[in-house]
Amino acid sequence: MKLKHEVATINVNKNAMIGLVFLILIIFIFAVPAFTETDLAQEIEDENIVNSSGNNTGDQAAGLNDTTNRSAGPVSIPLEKPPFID
Amino acid sequence: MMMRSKIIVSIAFLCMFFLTGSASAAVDFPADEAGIAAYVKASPSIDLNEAKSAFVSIERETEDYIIGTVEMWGHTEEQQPHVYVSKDGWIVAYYPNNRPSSWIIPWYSYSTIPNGNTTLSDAVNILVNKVGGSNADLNYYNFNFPDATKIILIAESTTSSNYFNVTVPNSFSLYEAGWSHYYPDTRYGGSANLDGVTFSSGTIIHRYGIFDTLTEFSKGNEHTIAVSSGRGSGFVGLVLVYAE
Repeated sequence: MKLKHEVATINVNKNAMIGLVFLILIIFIFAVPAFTETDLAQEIEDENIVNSSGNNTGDQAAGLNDTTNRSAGPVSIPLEKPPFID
Repeated sequence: MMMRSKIIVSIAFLCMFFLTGSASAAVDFPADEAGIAAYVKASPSIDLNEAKSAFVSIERETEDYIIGTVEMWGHTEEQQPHVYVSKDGWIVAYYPNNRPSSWIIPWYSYSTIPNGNTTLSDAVNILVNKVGGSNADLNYYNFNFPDATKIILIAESTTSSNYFNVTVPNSFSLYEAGWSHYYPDTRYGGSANLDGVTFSSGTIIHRYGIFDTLTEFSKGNEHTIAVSSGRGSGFVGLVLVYAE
């Protein structure tokens, strides 16, 4: 008895393959920046980087029309280059 | 069949172009016109028609963005910062590059200075409240000084006279020492001085300027900023732009 030799073939849809390749490309393009992007959240700190002194009374609750003696700060704010400029 | 493949490839390229472009675009932001700025990516997208109603004046409008000014209580038109809002979610409040950073001192909400409030953050908040999104990632940048890493605000007020002292360490790079003097009284004069030399005086004052960082406000020396008021309250503020 002669054995029948069968060759299995996988029918690959060419268009589906092209679509899949571009899908992987798009995922790659977005996945890499997501992992490398720095955290833009910056808290505005209240710190004495620059040494300042003076009369600092009653500053926290004072409104503009309040006549008590007061002062505000120093308030330090970090500067960070926006991602939308070169 | 060949044509179909070409269409699929073209669509894929178009998707890549538009999607990558929107990640950090802020299309046509006028970086060459801006000085001190506060910016935030408030949301993935913003409806410009909705944003438009927050503006009291519009300087530039395209299908991608609007630049104008927003109404800020207690601020003159000149004190209101420019605000850029783009359909890809960016909101940027800024002053033109010919104005010192001291324009960010919010004299009309003086008590909020210790919380980090500025005229720029107030302007951004007005837009965020209008269009939705978040201001949690608010950042600052000074387009005039790309190497600067920090700014610091110090303010003083008085009903007679008051002062504060500041020393900038020699190891710092000091890019700008901006000041602001606010004195609203109409009859009796107020003044502000640096190391005993008056740099601003008069009535109904909303004044801004800079000290020369080599001759007037040098590093390594203690400087005294003083403010006096003939009647009511007088205010003086200092904003330093520097790198440690």
